[in-house]
Amino acid sequence: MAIGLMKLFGAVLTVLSAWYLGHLMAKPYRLRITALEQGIGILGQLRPEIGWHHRILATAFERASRPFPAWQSMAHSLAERIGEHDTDFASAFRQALQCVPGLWEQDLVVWNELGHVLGQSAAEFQLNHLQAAEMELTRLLHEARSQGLKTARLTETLVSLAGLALVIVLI
Amino acid sequence: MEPWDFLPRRWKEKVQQLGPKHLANVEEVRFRLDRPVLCYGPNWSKALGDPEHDVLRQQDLDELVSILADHSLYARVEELRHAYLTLPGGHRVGIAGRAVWRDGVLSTMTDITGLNFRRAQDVYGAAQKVLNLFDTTQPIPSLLIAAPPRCGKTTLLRDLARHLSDGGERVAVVDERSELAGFYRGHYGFWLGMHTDVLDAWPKAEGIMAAIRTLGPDWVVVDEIGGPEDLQAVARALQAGVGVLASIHAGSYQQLEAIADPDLKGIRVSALFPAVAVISRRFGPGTVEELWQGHQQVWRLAS
Repeated sequence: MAIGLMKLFGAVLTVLSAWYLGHLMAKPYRLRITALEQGIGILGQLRPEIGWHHRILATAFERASRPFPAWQSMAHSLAERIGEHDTDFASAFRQALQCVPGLWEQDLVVWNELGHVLGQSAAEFQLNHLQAAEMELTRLLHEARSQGLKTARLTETLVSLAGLALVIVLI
Repeated sequence: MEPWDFLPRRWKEKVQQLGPKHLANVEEVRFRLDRPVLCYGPNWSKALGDPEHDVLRQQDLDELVSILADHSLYARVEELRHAYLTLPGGHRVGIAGRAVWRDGVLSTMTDITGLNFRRAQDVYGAAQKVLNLFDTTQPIPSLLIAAPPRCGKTTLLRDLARHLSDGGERVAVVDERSELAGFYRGHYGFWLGMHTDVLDAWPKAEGIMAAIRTLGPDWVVVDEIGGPEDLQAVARALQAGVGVLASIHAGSYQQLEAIADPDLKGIRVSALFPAVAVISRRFGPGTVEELWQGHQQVWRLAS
């Protein structure tokens, strides 16, 4: 009886561990999607902050990131670095991006390019740059959703199934 | 905070190396292309670092402007158009550079060649010397303060506004260049009294008219009037029974007499105001040289 319960407990634990492992392996894909979705949301919020309110970039980012938890620490870090009066915006922006979990290399390229042109010209040019970055990030998000999410789900399923198979073999 | 607190660390440290004696009375720090950085006090000037080697390049000036504008030049275009940037605490950085014209209008500045960090002074009681010249039993008349640059006009005007406001008068300050109130990102740099409203960044003439129409002031305070539209707005305010405290660039009362607006049928600016105080920096900024009332010199500082 006790051995049977232990086997059952072991089987459940193995299946749960396999599911959790699958979930961990799929996490980067999901994080990337969240970071891209919220990043695009920020760009949308930045437009009125820059184009209409003419707020400085640090404040604009802090206000725009309020509904987007994945980006809040980035905006805070950016404001801190700029407040030190000792760095150029592109460097401060690049370093602050490290606070955003889940961005991939190709996403960072788009964000860093944006960091190079933000703040350097009239508001209308800023808006054009924001729009261009938003379009590129939307393309990357679409790609992440169609390919990355598929991969994430497949990984989760395969690892969970592998756990189940292991249990069956062991039993 | 001092204006040089907003400089990058390497420059800030060099300013601080001036020592307490000079630091206490630095008035300006000037950054000029291909030249060393110079600090100016009341009767002295001193180069920062090694004058032979520490000369400024275009890249240094561009970097400084970007930092001063919080890397958000688009948000400071209006200030750049008027060749300055405001800093917290009411300080101001004057900018020399190349004007950029767009559709016949000066739109911004580029190729920056000089920056002048000016330390704003807030001297409580600075206006007392002027106020003492008036009969204390009578209300203060509308007053024009005439002086050349760097004689303490703005400091005097700020303290006069504070004095009136603290005396219960409703004061509207038209602060086109954010110098009087030092308004910066939601905070005032200077206390201007309990009964003071500030129209920040408003053009002087429009600001005066808006204040009269909407704020119901007893007094309007405005710095550095000069254009015909400014004089017309001042005339309208005085006609409306609102007192006006204003300043103007002029070295003497005689120079002031020459400033007239043809649209006001040749009325001289000196005739608009019941009282005119001429200021110099002979014994330090804010030295009252003369007081004129009704074209009569009623007081003069002994030479």
